[in-house]
Amino acid sequence: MDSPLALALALADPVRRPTGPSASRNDRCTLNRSVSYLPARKLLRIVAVVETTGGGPPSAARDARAALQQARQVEDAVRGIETPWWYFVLSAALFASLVLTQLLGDRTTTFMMAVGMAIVALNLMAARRAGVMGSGSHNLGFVTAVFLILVVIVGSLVWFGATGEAWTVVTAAVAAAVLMLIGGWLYRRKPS
Amino acid sequence: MIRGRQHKAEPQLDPLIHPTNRLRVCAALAAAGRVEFSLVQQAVGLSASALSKQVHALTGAGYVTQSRGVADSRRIWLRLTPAGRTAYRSHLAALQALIDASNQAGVGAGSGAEEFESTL
Repeated sequence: MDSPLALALALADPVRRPTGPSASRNDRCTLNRSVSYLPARKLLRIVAVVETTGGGPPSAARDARAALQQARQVEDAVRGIETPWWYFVLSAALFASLVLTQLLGDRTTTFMMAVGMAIVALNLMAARRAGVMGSGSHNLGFVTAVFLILVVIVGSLVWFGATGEAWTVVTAAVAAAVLMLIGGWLYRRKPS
Repeated sequence: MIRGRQHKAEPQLDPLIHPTNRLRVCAALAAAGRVEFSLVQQAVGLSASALSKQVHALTGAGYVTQSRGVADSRRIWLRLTPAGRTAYRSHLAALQALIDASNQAGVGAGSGAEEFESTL
């Protein structure tokens, strides 16, 4: 209760004395809207201290600033964990393979599923190694790259199905790999 | 409806998150989807038992969930729940509001708050 931040809350919030029959019971005022109660005599004591101390921002603001800074430092430390370089290279190779499986004829579905499972396994392995799964803040560059890769895969499936031209599949495979590498380059960050 | 929106947008300090160590744990978890226990420990700089205690408090409030690894059950993964993420964001916003209010008060009063901040 007596932390500077809590005291600042008491000072920042409008002091509301209860009205009605219970008002005369004692002069308690609410702190941060009914969470806890702060007697007015204590509040007056706090105000007196703050008024006489002076000489800069209230300690509550200093505490808040320090807390915010610490939180941001920890967030940056976790975000700054470097994704292993081989993750993006292997992902690029796997996505290219995924596109190229279209050339396998009858075995396309089987191999496509196998490559899909390999992609999932790779993601799990990289996450396990790094100790971090998923991202709290989305990296727009990487998300865009993955979206474009999916577009390339679907596009090549449709195009190859319609025309049967093998070069479109090869081109799409190269495009998917390049997109993955660009996405990885955009995503990868050095530890802070 | 308007009242509901206002209530949602209002940043609030959460007494459960406010202690430094818990705030740091939440910060570590907010930075990613799931974070391994030892990595949180490393980021926050707490002992395993101290971190476990803080995680227990956050889990009890429904702010954090923990699960064991599928491949390696010795590894524990921690995740901030949507409620925890909201509370954490709201707490940070409230801290920021407090700082802003202090700055404004300093400017309004014509005190040497800016000079003081620059020395910090």
